[in-house]
Amino acid sequence: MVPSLLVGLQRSTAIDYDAVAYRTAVILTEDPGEPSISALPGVYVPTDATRFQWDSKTPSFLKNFMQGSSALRFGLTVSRDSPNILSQRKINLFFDPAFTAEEIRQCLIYGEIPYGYNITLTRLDTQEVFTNGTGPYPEGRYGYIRRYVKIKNYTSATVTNETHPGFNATTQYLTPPFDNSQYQTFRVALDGLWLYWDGTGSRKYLVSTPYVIDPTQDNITVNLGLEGFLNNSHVNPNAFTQELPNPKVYFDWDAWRANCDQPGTPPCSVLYPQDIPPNYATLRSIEFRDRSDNPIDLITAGAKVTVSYHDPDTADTMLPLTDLDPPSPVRVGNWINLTIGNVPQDYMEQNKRMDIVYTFVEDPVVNPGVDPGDPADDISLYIPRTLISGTLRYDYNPANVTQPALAPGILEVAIW
Amino acid sequence: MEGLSPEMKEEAQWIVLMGFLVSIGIFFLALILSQSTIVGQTTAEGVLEFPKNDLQDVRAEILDITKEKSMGSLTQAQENRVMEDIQNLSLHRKSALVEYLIGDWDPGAGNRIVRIHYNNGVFEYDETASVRY
Amino acid sequence: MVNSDAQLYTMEGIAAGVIMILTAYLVLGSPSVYTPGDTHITDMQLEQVGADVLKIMDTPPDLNNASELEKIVATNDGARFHQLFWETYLMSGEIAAQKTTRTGSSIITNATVYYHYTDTVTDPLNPQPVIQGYQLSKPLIPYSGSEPGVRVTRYVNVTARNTTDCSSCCPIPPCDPALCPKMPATVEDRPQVMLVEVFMWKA
Repeated sequence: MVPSLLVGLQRSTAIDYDAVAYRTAVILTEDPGEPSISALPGVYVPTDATRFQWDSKTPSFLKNFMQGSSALRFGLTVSRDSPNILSQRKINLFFDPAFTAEEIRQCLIYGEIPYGYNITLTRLDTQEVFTNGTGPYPEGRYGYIRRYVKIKNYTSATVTNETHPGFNATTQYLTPPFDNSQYQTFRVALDGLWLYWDGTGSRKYLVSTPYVIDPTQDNITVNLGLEGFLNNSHVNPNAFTQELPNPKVYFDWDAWRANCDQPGTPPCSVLYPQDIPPNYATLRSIEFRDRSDNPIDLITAGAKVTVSYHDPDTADTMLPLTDLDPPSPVRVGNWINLTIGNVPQDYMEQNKRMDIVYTFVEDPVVNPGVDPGDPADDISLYIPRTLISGTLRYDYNPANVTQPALAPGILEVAIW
Repeated sequence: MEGLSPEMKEEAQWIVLMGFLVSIGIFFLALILSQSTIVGQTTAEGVLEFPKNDLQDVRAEILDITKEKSMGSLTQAQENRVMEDIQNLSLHRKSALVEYLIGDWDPGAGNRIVRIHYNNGVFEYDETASVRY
Repeated sequence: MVNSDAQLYTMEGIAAGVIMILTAYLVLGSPSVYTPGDTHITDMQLEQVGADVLKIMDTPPDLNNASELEKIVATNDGARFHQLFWETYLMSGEIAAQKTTRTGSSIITNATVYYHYTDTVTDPLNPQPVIQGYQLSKPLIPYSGSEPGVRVTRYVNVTARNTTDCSSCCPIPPCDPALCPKMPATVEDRPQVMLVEVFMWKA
């Protein structure tokens, strides 16, 4: 009788919900979470079954982990030394609907009473709202706290002919022989030496965690805009019939048009009714290589790589590229968007380098020759479609990489 | 109940009555105990009293100064004046004593040792940080 | 013959009465107990919000810029301080938030900057450290003292006494540096640390 009397008194009057809300908010906004390897950017820390960065795992892994009576704590800051600055990857993981209320209580709110809760993060610049809760705010008494935070956004690099005309490689590739022996590569270089270190001269300083571009913590996005780098040219079919074996090959669309629109020759619209210059590139593969140009298998190592490309035949449709080394070249339109996340630590240490290598090949064009029905006189030419070459440094130069400023937000925790 | 004498009946009633009185007494004590956990410092007062923001601020400021010193933006004289700034401001405006010592750069270990001491009369904080710049 | 029968019956009756009252108490629920310190919760929330806003104002937005608060103190721009602290952070947070609280629209702030200098004038043989303050941003209504207030502070780095770039506080650039607000004359011209104090209360 007596113990139940005590519990009755405690439950109705003495639970300080504001205290629980405050504690929960402190864990979310000032704690990097557990397990956490609290390494400096670019420093390799050996990991094992209980020592790893909690936001580098998937929700199903974490659910298994917490069942095994191992400590998991949802803290959202980028590091131990930067309170109130939250990591985008941790935010996305924490607000994942895969986690049940029971798991949130076990790993964030603590205590034996099954609290109702509502945790909301609102970005003040985009008004985007993330919510995780058991329900809307109740009518009666509840504890509440509001914290102001800054959110570290992901960086991205956008390469187009307008922004980076230096990568245009017309003279390099528009030279014979056009026999499929040439290919074009474009590289994006991520090097620990310039990502993790700042400063010049005798001493370099580690870039501090809220501002560092760290592929092991954040997503890296490269948007490659091929328009302007594409070689929109046809082979002049007249060349095959008239001037074998030295085909006159035009690589300048305007010159070709000018040629067929001469007085005395039929107009282009009659000769070539499908008068559309090709608008695609031929992507052979996307690979990752290290400093010595050896290939790295990121996907097997656990990284998440998402590639989508613009379908050249339909306007504005982006298709996913599931195989980064397809059996035959893929025709891609104006954009190839690549996002890498969860790069394992050992691939991006302070002195390591990772290059993203896009390889484009020449596009085969077959001319049926004098006798269209006879394959013996068919002539094959390989047109280089993508005139791009060079290496983009993914570094802190705003001309190369868009680094969004820290975005303000508010985090509200309500407990009842 | 002819077998029981009047004295035994009386004793029985006494025993039962005393039992009730004792249980009431225990209940009363239990009430007092439960109330006593409420009367005390509340969590909000505890939060207001603990200088969390002050500590985070002072610590971030000292690490900032360490970085400036490493980058060569501060001479030793300027650094000493900045230390006086922090100490005087903290003592006069925050009623807290702050002392810190920024060690020399150790090229072998690749770090610098920074010691921080904070005391506001109620809470004391000491830290030895290994700083990589 | 005096015996204790009647006394026993009386006490039994009293005991029964007490038990019945107790049962009634259990059935009807416990009475509300005053939890002292309820009034401190809103103070705590207000202090935490103020400290948070100062902290994020003092965080540089990216690698190449100083923080907003540093720029405000360097240019002595009280209007910008009020706009940022109250409008951009407190009010936007209040509008975007799920719950309207005291920590929002009706908060008045008074910002002061404290600095340290050495007084060599009063007694040249015995220079003394002096802590002096000047107002950064005036409150809209003076503090009446009837509402509890909280004080939040933040250390700010200042590189030199007066900045030459005061483009943020003059209406049409280029600015005449002579017209920009200056720090008091006793602020020393050296890299130093100043303390921004914001006192907040509900109107």
